[in-house]
Amino acid sequence: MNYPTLEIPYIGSSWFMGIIATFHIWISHFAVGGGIYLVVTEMIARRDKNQDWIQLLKGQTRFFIILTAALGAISGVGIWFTIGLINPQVTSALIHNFVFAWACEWVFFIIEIAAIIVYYYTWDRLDAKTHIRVGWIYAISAWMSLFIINGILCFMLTPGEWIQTRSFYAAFFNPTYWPLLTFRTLFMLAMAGVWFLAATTHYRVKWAGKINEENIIKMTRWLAAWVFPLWISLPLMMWWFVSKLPFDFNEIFKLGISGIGPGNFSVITRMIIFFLFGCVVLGFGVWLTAYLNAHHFVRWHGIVFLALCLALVGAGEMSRELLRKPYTIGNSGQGNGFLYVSGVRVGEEKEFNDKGYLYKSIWAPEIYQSRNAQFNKAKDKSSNSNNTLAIAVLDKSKTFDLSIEQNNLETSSIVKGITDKSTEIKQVNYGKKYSDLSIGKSVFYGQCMNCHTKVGYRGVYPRLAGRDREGIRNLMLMLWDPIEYEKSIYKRFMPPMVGNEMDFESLVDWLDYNVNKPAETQNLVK
Amino acid sequence: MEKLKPNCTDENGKIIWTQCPIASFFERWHIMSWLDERLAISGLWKYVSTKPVPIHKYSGWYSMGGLALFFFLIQCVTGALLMMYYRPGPEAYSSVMQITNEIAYGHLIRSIHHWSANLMIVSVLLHMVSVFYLKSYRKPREFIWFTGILLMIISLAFGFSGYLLPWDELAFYATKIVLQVPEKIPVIGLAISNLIRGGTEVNEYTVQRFFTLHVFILPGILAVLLGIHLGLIQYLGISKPPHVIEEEERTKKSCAWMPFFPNFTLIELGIWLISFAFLVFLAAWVPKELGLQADITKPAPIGIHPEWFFMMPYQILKMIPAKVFGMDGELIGVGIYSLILLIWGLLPFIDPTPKYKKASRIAFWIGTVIIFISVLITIGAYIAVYKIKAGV
Repeated sequence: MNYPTLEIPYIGSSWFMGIIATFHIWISHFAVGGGIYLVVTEMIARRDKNQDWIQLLKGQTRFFIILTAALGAISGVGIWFTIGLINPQVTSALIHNFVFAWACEWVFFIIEIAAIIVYYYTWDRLDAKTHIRVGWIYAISAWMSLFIINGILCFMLTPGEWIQTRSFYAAFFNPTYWPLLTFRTLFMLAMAGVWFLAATTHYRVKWAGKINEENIIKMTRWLAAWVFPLWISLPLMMWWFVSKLPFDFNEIFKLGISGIGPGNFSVITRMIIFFLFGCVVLGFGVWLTAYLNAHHFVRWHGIVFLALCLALVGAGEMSRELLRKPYTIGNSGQGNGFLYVSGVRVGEEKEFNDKGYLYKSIWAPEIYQSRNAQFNKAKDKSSNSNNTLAIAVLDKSKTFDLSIEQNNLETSSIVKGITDKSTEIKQVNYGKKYSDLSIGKSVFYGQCMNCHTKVGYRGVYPRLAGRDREGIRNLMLMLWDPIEYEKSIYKRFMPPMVGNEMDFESLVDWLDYNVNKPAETQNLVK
Repeated sequence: MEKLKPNCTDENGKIIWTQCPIASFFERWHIMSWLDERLAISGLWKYVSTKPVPIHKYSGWYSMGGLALFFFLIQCVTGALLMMYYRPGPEAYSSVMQITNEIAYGHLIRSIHHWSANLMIVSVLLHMVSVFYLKSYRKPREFIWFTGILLMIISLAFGFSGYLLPWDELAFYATKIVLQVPEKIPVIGLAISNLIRGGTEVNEYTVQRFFTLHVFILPGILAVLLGIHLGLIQYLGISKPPHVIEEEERTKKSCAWMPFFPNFTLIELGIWLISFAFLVFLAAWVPKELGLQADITKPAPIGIHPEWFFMMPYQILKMIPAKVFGMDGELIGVGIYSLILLIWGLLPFIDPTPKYKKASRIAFWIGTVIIFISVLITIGAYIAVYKIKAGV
């Protein structure tokens, strides 16, 4: 654990990432699919010499460039900031593997942005043939950015032969690369159709009287014809993707069929069901309303279909992310795991268990070693020794806790360091074990908070409510003890807890302390 | 066989409705003729293809009633599926536990049933509010309004009876609280409550009683009322808002309209599909979980409250002091919202025609105040519950 943990209250870092990433996908998928739609439709409009369609396309391009160039760029950079904060380990691993690919992607971004600006501003300035060529330059460069980023995203789920060979091309063209590239391309085209359907309903009102309404109806029908087959075919495309997964997808899907109890991990099943169902509904809904009844396809229809489309994006991406559990790089297929969500590499568990979770942490080697020594010494002495909790009250509003043995209280360098006029040390006898709450806190923050929060989303404290220390310990043992972990129902989607005995007991104490708050500390420690 | 008219425009050249490709397909392949020879449907075909649905700014609200019907149909289907495993009485809780945690897709069907119930009541209420503001209760549609009020009450009764069936803590205590309300009715109140409960306390016999009410009695009553409600709508036609009628009288021209089939039907189908997707989203995202089994010996948990559609009457009862001018406060509470319901039901007599502008304004403000206060009190009720649970 060499990085600070970004704590996002209530929603957690996983949702923080999910919200920003999903927003970016809404925009970026539109950017790719929309580019292809615009140039194809322009070709049809030019062929038919339909000036009304040209006008509509100009309006659609304006909507397109504002949304994709501005919001797409901002949210894309937002993702970089976010992943660096919430999971620096995986960011580091990805950069080390794919920096060249990302550099290529950024080249295509520049071409994309330049092309779309030229495309928008030269509707009336360039001849038709050249303008269409500019459009294709945009469409192809946008698709190439998908071509590249898809490799990185798929790698995280199916690293494939890279685990053994460390080959860049094995990582990039991994087992699910081609199925997901096809799926995403179709999805982007479908999504762009829905975006433009919503935009067209707006232009229908805005330009009423200026454009022949029949041509707007015709464009609505064209968009519906564009959208319908794509949305219907997406569930079929998913089957190709699922067939390439190196683990038994049915096994995961079945987890949530027969129950939603705790530990069931049924959310992935439910999201997949919603995604499949939603695709079919969206396709048929657009056909029934925008194609068969185009005249009465009004603004709120477009907005509602767009809202459903965006919700499907969220559901699809959430399902894809959940399939990876308990890894950030890897999957549950045999020998396919590389990096757990806890930031621990596969294969390093024994090292952490022997030497301790923080033994490699560059910010805490001396303190950690000293605490380990104290732990082992105290453990040898007596199993019933009391732990003394020292609470430093810095001022009236701020407190923090230390756990320092009675004997070391006055001589401890930590206590000496903080003692000044504004500090008051209160001593409270707490617990029966000889652990360290601050280490327990570090273990919790480092290994648990990538997926959990304290009291919010997947809140740990409410889940442990009602358990005493022994109950909490027994539950944690299912994740820490290798034999118990192999049998545990949580193995499918939770990584093993790593650390030595002191780390384990410290974590248990930390959880017990927060769940069952000793009375003496109720008003003191926040 | 009556052919559909081709693209129809109004005097300004604006297209009102277009011939639907489905209808063209049916005609080209003589499907309708084939069916007519065997089922004599030409009359029905002519009726639905020429039944006018007015087109104006508020036409979208015409779909609310159909949406409520759609959710009711979902309830029927999911309810039938749940009935295959649900066992009323002493095994109620364990059967729901089995549905939620053992039966394949049981939790999904149960969640859809739960959310569809809530959305059905939301649709009914929105439909009622839209009918109020579009003045569709006026002559000659009074009985449509009355049957609509009864349908709303039946929908709430569905919600109330179904809520107890899982026999978990929340269901048990919420039902117990709601059943204390009819007890306050003078003379017959206790008898009514005992009749509903099947005794003096809510117990497993109450579950069986509510089950019969939920799957047999209430659906039967609803089917009859719905038949009358829809039959009257077909007979009297779809109403137009006052401003549209005034415009027609002023210009001496009929407002734009579209045929019920296929144009309006396609709009309805689109709305139903989207609503279904939204329903599945809710069921997938927020599945209905099962609490602890009801224990009649335990005290009620802190902050227990009925479902949202009963929060308004519940909060009114809590707001009124125990004694008011020597009278039982709860009795006054029951009287208050009974009066509200009565006034709401009698709106067609308060505002019968557009001729009486003053009456129309009075009715508008009465209804708006009732709606506003209902929403406000419901929100206040939830704030109060939150404060109780937070210990504030």
